[in-house]
Amino acid sequence: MKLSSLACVWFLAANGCGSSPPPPPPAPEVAPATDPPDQIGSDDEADSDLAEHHRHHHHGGIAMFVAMSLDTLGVDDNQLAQIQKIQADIHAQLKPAHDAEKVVLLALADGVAAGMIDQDRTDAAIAELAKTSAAAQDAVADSLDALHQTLTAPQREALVDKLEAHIAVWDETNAGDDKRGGHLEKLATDLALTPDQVEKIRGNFTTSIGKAGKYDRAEVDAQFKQFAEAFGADRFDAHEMKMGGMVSSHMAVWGLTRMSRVYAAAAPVLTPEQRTKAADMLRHHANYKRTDAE
Amino acid sequence: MFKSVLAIIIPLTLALAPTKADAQITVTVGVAPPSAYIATTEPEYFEGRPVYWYNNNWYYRDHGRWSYYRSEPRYLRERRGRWVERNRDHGRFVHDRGHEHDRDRGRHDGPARYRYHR
Repeated sequence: MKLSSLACVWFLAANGCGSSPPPPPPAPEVAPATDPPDQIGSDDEADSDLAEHHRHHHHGGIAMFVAMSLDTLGVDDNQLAQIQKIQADIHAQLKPAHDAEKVVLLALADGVAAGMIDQDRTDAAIAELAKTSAAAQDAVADSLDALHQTLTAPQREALVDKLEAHIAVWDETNAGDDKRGGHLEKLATDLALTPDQVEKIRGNFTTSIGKAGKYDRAEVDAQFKQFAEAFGADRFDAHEMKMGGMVSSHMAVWGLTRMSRVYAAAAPVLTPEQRTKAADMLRHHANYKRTDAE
Repeated sequence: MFKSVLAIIIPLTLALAPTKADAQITVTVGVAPPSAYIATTEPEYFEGRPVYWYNNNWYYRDHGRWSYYRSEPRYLRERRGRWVERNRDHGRFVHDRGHEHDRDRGRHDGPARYRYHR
């Protein structure tokens, strides 16, 4: 046997026959779906910052989550300028909704400071936000189309993953039952509420939130699924996404309604010092700056 | 001569072949990296998909299910080496405390995570 033949034997053994298709990858090993791996980072600052953002900012709905996803997409240098422009455009198109949300937050701040939320004033501001939030989703359609054209298929896949992740965090923060990271728990920490205060606020909140509209996660999931499938495909037209405005408006209204009910429940129970601090926190969020440069 | 060549080739083949296969072996898991982690961490791109370094493994999604590579592909290992330098350039990113001590190397080489303004 010649050396060349031996080399061939070695090559085939290591890499498979050159004229045949490569062997399929080994079947995945399946780990039991029991405890999650160590939840590294689950309670670190990046997590709590994100939850704090989603706890107070609902105006942009799914379009806002898309813009936020661009912060960590990992784009090439030759894509960077275009991505930054698209992101800036989306935030600009969401500005009317952002401003409407600011009106709501300032109304809440005034109410908390006074010890009594003006629910009519707050609800009117939320209704205005619903209109602007729905309209904003139509405004961002061209930006979404440009984004689709700019990103590679794997980047689009990553964006869909991130979008789903933002929805999950928003949902856990706003639509959960306050077991972990919810409004009331956060308020209790921030304002050093006594157990008695927490129970009173919880009772008030349970009564008032029962009269508010219901959050429909299935509707949000359906919209996300529609977007994910469309955005992952090679051809995409954001103008064909019919439900975006309605769903984003729904999220904005629900998020702010729930928040307003929490503060309405808390305002009469808080001490003057706690009211001052809570009002300051709301004003801080009302004047939110996305970047240091803003 | 023939035997001596085989004595070289066979061990070499055995040594190299598992390495190649190992990189393809994946472990499918019933849980994903936390949503907040996915939302605030930059992925790397490998084999045409985004992958995330989490809990000392590279996670990726395939048809909705999360898996990780049992052995770290060389390309991704090299990418990790660039994180420290890259992270210095991103003022809005913070080093993930959970990854401060890589179990294999005992040094900072986790991905940076984006911090949103409060």
